[in-house]
Amino acid sequence: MELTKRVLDNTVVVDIAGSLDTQTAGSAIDALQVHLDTSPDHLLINLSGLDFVSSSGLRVILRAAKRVRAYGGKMKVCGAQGMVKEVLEISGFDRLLELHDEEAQALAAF
Amino acid sequence: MRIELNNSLDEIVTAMTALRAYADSVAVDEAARQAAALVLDELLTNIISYGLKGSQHDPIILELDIADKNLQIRITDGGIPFNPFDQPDPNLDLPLEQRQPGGLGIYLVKKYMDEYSYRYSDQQNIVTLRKKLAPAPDQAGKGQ
Repeated sequence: MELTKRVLDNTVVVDIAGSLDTQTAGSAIDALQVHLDTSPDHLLINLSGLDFVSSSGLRVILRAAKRVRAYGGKMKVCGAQGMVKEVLEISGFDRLLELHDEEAQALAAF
Repeated sequence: MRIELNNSLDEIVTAMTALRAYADSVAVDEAARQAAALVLDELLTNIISYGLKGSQHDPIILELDIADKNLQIRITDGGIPFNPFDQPDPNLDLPLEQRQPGGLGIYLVKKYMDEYSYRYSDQQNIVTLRKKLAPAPDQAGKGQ
């Protein structure tokens, strides 16, 4: 799992790539926490490089979404594909979060 | 294939490595591999984090087989008796503030497997799962 941060205007984009599972969820939570310490108004989680997610990974995304909501920010998710997109949909995250296929779409929607 | 796993979350990596090796050796399709990896992550995490917590137990036994065009996964552990499939499905309609991540793992196992069963026998929890394998690619056009 690799987690990297980019800043585009007033949006913090966090790319999560590889596998988000029981082994990697803890370090992903820690890394995301650091990026949320500044309480960015807009957080975009880009999952285009993610090829595996389990419920431990969903926990990471849910936690970030709650945190951002709690301080009054906005969070969106983009780029999920294949198995990752399917797991998000089966888990109802497509109704819970704003999911976009493309990063540009997500950025324009803030 | 049969392997024994110790009571440690690090052992999930061992299980995944074994799954990959087995799937390569018997040509398991990508969808079945991903489904198997998902259910191993979910069920082994539950067993190691809750079922076997805080005491010494026999190893967890993971068995992978091909049976009647299915990938069959059997996980046996000597932890507290627990039928994961008895748990209620999570309410997916709750708003964000009320959503809890608990329960999603077993829900995903049910969704990704074609068959699932649990029995408790000889002080062992035994979970058996089956995932249909994709038909082998059509060879009719080969060589054209």
